[in-house]
Amino acid sequence: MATDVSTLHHAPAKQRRGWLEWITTVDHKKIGIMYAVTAFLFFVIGGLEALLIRLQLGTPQNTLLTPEAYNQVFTMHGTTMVFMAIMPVNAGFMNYFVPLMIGAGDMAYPRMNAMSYWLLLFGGIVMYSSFVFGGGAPDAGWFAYAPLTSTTYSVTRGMDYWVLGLQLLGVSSLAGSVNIIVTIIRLRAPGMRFNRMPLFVWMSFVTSFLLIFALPSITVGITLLFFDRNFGTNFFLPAAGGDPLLWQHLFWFFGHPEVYIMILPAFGVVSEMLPVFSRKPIFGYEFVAYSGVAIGVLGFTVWAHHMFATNLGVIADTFFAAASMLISVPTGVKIFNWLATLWRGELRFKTPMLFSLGFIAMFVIGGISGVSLAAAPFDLQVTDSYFVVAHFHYVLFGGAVFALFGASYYWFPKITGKMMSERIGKWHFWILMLGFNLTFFPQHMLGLQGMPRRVWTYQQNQGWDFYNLLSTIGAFCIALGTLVFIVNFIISLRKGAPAGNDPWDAATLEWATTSPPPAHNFDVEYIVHSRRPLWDNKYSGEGRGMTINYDFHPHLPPPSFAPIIFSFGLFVLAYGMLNLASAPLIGIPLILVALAIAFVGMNRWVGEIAQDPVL
Amino acid sequence: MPNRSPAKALLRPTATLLLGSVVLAACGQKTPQTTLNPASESTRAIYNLSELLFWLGVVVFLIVQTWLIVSIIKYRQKDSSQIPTQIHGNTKVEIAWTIVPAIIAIVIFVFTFDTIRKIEFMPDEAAGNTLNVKVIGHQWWWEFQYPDIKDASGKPLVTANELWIPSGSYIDVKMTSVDVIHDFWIPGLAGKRDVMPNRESGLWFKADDVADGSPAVFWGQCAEYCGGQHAYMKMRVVVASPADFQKWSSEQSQVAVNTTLPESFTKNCIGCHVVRGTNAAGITGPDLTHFGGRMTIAAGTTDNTREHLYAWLDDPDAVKRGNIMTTAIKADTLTEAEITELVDYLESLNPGTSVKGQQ
Repeated sequence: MATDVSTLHHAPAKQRRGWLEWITTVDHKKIGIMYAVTAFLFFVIGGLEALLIRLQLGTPQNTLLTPEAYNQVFTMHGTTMVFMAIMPVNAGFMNYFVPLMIGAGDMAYPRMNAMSYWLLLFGGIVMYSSFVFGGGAPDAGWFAYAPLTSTTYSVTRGMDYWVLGLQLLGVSSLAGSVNIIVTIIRLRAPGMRFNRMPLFVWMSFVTSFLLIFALPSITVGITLLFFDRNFGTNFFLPAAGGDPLLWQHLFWFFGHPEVYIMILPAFGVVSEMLPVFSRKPIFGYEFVAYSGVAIGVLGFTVWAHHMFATNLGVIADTFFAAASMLISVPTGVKIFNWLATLWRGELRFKTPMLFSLGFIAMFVIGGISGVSLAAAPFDLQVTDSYFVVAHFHYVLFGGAVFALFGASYYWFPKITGKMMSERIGKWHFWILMLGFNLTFFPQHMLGLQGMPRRVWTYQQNQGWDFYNLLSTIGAFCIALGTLVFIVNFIISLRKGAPAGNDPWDAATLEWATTSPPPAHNFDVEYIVHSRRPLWDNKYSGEGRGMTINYDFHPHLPPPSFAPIIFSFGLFVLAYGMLNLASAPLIGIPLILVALAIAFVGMNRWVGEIAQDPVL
Repeated sequence: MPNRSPAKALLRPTATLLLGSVVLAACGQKTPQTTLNPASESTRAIYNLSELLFWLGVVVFLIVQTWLIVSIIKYRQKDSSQIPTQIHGNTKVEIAWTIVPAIIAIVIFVFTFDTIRKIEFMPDEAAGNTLNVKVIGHQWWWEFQYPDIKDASGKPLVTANELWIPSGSYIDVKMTSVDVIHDFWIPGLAGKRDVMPNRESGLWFKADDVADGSPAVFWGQCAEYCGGQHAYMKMRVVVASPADFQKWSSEQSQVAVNTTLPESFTKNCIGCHVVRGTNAAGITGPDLTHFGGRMTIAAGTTDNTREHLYAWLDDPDAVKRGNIMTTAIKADTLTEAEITELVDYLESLNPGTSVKGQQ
């Protein structure tokens, strides 16, 4: 293999040991692992909340949960899965693999990368600490419609925790996006032109732009909400002339692109796995890449399709219906290209491939129901019903989660150097497939039969008992599948077969280094000549895909405490802000302490950069 | 494609099974709140659109899944040493499968626009055959006002949680909320419309004809999450023949059939409830003037029977946790004798035209 080169120049970065090694790391791979593990923990917490929801709804007029408890649980389930599970798992994979796939040694801003991770963790902690300190968790749903979020109707401090948690998560995502964009623009290996980048890199690039354009809208929204709740303003309060509908526009201008923020990385990862396990290149590379861009751009023109029921008027309904239907075109193009990639291939049904195929099969169902929801009159019947719940779970679970589980099997060998068990992996896939459909397919029926979403219970005489019971059984099946994954993960981590550099006979640069890769990723610099540098070197002839520059001096920044100190400052600042209006004697000192901590972090940060101006 | 037939043989029973289960489930159980049984011009228009969406969806589903399954069967790896032909793409094919979804999207859009037109614009023939209804959303119950129908004192007729309308008339609904955003949804008669605190929203519908003496009951429910008891913000809509509606509305616009308030009512209830013809004039809670004839208690939480009413007055929080009446009536507020007195009184407030007890 081309990578087995021993005449190398390493940058001997000072490394710390044990847990300090993780706290101070600025290595994109370690940060990626921390992202993924943290996100998976939140996925499990969000999943347990889902089980509570399904237990409560398994039988009519169930009293397992009170309405207040149920409303907190479903709000936290949505918030957790969107902001603390799917988004950061995506961020984790991007962190780990974008630099590797473009042949870079690290992210453009390694310290800011660490900060992004710590703000994710701290944001999640702020949000969940509402259970303990807030008198109750947020309870207004993940899209938090005003004026239900006002202190009149949401009497606990939960929504304040929600706002500040989201602020930290927002800073995390924004910094992460800037980092990904700059990394992709600046750090591609020589010869890695844009139209040679792996599609996962393409989709990471598009997703990061979406985040940068979408996040400001919700940031403004939650800031105004925080002022309404704490400082007596009336942005969303109708009694004083504020407008609840303003919140909906601010939220959905973020909220709809957010859907693509969650699903585009999944598209990217599937576009990596399908070709590898079909032993063919992706069919229509340009079309797959540019349709992702098209989806991203169109995604900003459709937000009000979430608001058809608000009486927007015929002209607005027509425009947003048309724009939403238009998105089916680039999405259809992607699906057809994936299918064409399989055509005349030599398909190997390894676990990542099973999840990729499952992704196509399930995502299509979510896409079909999605187009039907764009038809405004039909939407008026099924919006805010269980039909919508079924629809977005087919997109986000059948789509994103399936793809991300596939990605876990695909990249686990690279990250750990060990293979995951194929046998257990197949069990995982089939149990999840069964459980997923059992849970969510019946919910289409429930919606059509008039069951609204977000109801804490329902009556026996509605005719909804059977499908709800099926759905609850399915949810436990999903839980079992996830448990199988955890077992597989632990067993494989301990006893997995050695992976080698390139266990799947793949095409992209992350497989052209050791598993796991060294701190500096590559011992040599690759000069890229094709879209599939590794594949073409293997099958078209050495040097056809890439050539090697041995005169290469990787340079890595040393570990740093600055990111975690700075992030911890912002974390304390959140609690200061929480107390500013209600208990200024606690709030103001806390804010001062927080700013001091952040300043210490920033000061170290700037000092380190001054010592090491290259990074 | 030589291997087409086995895949087809696999798919056809699957599709039949799938569709069969949909149909079976729709018929097997009574679903009073279903969208699949439209009974107005607008819901029928929506239903027709959804049928188109469903069948186009089935076609797309079958194409993609067939393609997927055929690929899986046909191109399973036979020889691990073999490298398949490296096909990078084909621009003609790409253009084709860009145009095909675009055409499908345009077809859907045309029918969507047509349906929007049908359900949003009230036809000209509605003039002179329109009943105005005002819906007011409260956490967690519905107030209905009839601006065109005045009671004896000249005020619009008011009722709660049970909306009567005449069949064959255009019902012009205007809505507002006194607190958070709610959503007015009667799946059999009209699609959803948000009920907002700072602006008036509206919709119209025209229910199919019913015969004299056999009113049709439709179930509806708040469809925008509105806090604690969102689940129990329900309503019944009774579609009556014009003659029956006339009878009902003339009864409803009278004062209560029994205007002698029991002492416990005066002591506990008049601050929040209206009983026309008495000094009960509170407006926080539902108008109770003709409560005895209504189908349900507490916005569809339970059927209106003496036993349920007793339980409700005994401990409203146990029946519908968190509702606003619990601020006044706790589990030990009323004695047994007082509750019985209140049940007797409230159940007596039935002017006659009622579908109470009917499902």
